[in-house]
Amino acid sequence: MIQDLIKVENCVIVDGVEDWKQAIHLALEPLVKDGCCTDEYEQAVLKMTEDYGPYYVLTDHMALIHASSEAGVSKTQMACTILRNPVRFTEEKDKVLCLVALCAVDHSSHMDGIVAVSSIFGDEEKEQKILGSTSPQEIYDLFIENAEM
Amino acid sequence: MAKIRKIMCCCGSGLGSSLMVQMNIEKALKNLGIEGVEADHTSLSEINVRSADLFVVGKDIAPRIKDYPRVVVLNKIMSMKELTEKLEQAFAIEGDEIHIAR
Repeated sequence: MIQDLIKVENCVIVDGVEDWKQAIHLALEPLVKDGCCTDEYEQAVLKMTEDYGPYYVLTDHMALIHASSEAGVSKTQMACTILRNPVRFTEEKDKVLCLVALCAVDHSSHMDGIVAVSSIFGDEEKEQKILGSTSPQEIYDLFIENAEM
Repeated sequence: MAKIRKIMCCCGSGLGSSLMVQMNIEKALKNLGIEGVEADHTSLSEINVRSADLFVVGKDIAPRIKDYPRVVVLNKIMSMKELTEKLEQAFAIEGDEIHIAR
């Protein structure tokens, strides 16, 4: 159930970040605070970025910050941070305004969350809606509404 | 070579974009009226050339499986339009080699 995968407290709106490393730290902060993953997970994301590049930048405006399920993950959970000012992960045209953080204990427990991400960010209108959110509740509601296939 | 019965999606972690693409493939096959094809997802560290008849990956992963005989590469990982067009092309190919990148 999507309600088990995201919480209002894990939805955040901030002005901006200094760089992509701070973006990763900020995106994962709610999950670490919530005890769903440890700092080790952040290190795993940074290491995988070094190895593979920013594989998690899925649209020009959204990054799905995640590593694999092994590294310091104890509970499947998501968080969503909206940035008012974009951050770049590559030299290319990406201007990331939304950081969706994900940690998962296996390959399928986060299925409903991926359905929501895919449905929101596969649709330009919905993407604009989430980027323009003015409260954590609005962000949360969009995830809940879009978790149905 | 066998007909396409199984499609494998792959990404670095095996739980982000690969799962998303798997779900989009299931949707696209339905829209195309193609039945009897299974889709699954995996990580780069667990991928095996014998595990499927066709592999679908994002362009970041593509260089790592360039020797695979049947590969579809997506430029926009979330685009249903690109995926549907490329799957349609892949299923129209009768030969053993499928390389659809552009």
